[in-house]
Amino acid sequence: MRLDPVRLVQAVIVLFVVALLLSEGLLYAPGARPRLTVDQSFRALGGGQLALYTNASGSFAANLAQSVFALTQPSPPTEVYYYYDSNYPVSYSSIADWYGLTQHLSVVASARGLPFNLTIVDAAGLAGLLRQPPRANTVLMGPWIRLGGTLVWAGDTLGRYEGTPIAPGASFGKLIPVPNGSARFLPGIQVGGTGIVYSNRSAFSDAVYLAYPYAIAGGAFRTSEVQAANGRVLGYLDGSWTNWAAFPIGGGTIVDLAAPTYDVVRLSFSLVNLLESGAWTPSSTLVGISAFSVTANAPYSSVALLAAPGAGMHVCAFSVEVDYLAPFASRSCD
Amino acid sequence: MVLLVGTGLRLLLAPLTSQYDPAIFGESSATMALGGGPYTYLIVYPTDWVLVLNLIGRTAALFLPANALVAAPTAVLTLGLTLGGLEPTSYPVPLVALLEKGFVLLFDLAMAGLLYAIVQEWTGDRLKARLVFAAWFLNPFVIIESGVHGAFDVIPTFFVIASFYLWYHDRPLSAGAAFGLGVMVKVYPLLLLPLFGAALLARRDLAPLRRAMSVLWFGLGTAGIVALSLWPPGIFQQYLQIVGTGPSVGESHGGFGPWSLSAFPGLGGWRRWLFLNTAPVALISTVIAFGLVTLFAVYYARRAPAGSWHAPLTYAAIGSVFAILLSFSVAQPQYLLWILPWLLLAAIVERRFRTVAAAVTLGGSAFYVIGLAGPLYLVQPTAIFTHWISFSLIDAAVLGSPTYGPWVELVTTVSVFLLLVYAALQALRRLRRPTAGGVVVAA
Repeated sequence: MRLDPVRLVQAVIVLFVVALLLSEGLLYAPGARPRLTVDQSFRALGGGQLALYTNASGSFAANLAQSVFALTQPSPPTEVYYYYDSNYPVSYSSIADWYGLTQHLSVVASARGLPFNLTIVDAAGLAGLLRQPPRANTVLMGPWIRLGGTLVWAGDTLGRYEGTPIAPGASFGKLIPVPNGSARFLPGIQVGGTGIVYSNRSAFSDAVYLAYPYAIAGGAFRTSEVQAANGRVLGYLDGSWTNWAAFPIGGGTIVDLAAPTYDVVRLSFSLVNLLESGAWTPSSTLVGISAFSVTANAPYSSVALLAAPGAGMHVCAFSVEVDYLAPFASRSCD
Repeated sequence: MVLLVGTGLRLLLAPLTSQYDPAIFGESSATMALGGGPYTYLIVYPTDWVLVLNLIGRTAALFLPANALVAAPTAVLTLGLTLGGLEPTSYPVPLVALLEKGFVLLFDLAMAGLLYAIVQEWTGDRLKARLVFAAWFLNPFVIIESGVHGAFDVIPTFFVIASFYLWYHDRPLSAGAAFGLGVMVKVYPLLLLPLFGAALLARRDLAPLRRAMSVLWFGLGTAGIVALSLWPPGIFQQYLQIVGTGPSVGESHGGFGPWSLSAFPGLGGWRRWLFLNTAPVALISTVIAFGLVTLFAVYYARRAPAGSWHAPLTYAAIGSVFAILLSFSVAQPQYLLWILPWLLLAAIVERRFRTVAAAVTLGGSAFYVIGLAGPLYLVQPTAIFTHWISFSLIDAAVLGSPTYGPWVELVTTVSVFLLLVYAALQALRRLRRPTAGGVVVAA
């Protein structure tokens, strides 16, 4: 039997359309998309105790980490300012990644349903932001942090920044840092370490799923110094070094990720997890961590007893799926 | 034997090789298998390819946990970092790679069959038809694209050629649907719209009313596919936002297009200017490409004899696609799949094009073996993720040479650019020569 090529070509078209319809059904038909649900609620039990009820179920196998924090501010930040200025050179990153991270952050936050307003500011805009409330002095960052701001620094070593814009018509160029930049932010804190990819996660990294293992050789923090400065180890560990740490500075915080920013996918998830958990400030207390799994046939339930937080404090539970690319996370507070 | 060898080679290569794009495809598939939406993972392709990736992820998730569709061992992360972010930081596990590339393989087969049918019709010579089948299906560049890269450019190109084929076989609704599918998988067929317009006008064998009705059916076919693809609320806005935001996820310049000239030493300022002006540069290059295709379309519409479409359309298509590749702000190696089927059609009947087809095959393959894809774009080496060999390291050594690395890249990209200019001029000469009947005698 001779095959009619015209009909065969038409058959390919029909089959492809059927495949598209099937895929759309799997994405948009009620109950067809893979789902994961975690309900977390607190109940006061009296006697200074709280109960955390957790119920999780899903249509696929998922691994989750749950962390409970006592903290003063129960809501994650909604206003985030991102410094990007193409007039300045890039270090331990690329101009595309420097900009592209903003898109990834927005998409991840949107997938979580977070009320997250990301504003890109250039050098002039950054200066304007840091001058709030208005002040006359030229040292802007330190006072702004001390008044309660949080600086999240990623890319080159903390404090290595370029003050001179690229000349018009010149190439992207190499960063020539201002002298003693690092000392302006964390005087007395030594940086070091030799690794560029760490393998071990800290307790906080496990709790909140900060899955960014990269590091800048010579830019990491010694965990003992972080703790001595009343800071918090956030990231991965390589012996006595960590690639990510938070330091209290007056009323604010410096969060430094001493790592290149090439892997914008992992970085965006990690940053959103950090912000959504609301627990990067060293003043927050990690009350507990647990890990659990759900499968299509095996939901999860638990009740945990916790000490009630002190006056002016709240307790929040943050559950996040600890699988690469998984978009799910959930946060509940008392 | 051709089927066996071509399929076997692809299936052998598919599961154990990866590259930047398969990593992205794997990550997109995995995100949807983990409950994400179509654009929860930032990917710059239109909806229909994302829907295919969803099918791949959901199929793989029948056999593997959804959180195991991509792998990211420490060695991969270290390599990625060592090469300055120019390597993917995950790879699709063998099953996912096999499914994605298996899907592309199906269209390699479909394309081979379509080329067979066209040559059979064009020349009446079954041997030539078999030759073009083998020339496509056993083409080393095509095998690398399908089996290693997993690039899906064969899919929109199949639909473009299928659309013309169906149009000339009086199937306007199917022809329109094919065009719509081509656009919704990858946007480039939109640039060929003038050529489609010329093909619609060139049907002087149809009575005006019937031609008008055929055009209407074509439009309905296209509209139906676009509606099918874009009906979910917000999906089109999401896609537009991803591709339209300044120096965005999909930004790049270079490859082997004219912008490859910016690889010359001392032109760093120009490369920076190109990056910072991605959007207007892309817009201007799109307008130029569209204008050049329109010129070819006008030639075609004025000179195509009624009822004998093969030769004039093939040469007009060759000229048009070359015009796109030579003017577009980015021309990645896999874009050569847009032109190769047309070149093979022409090469079967005209000796002059055999050299060009061979050169495109060799040049395209060279891009992968030695990992050269243009100055500003990501290095795309062939990579085999086993514990004992990785071409990535070889590529890093070659390109890392401060003396030779930049020049090797520049020479390769500019050479292919010049080759494409030559081929486009050949197509223009063919188009200006009057054609008679359905067979073009080789010069």
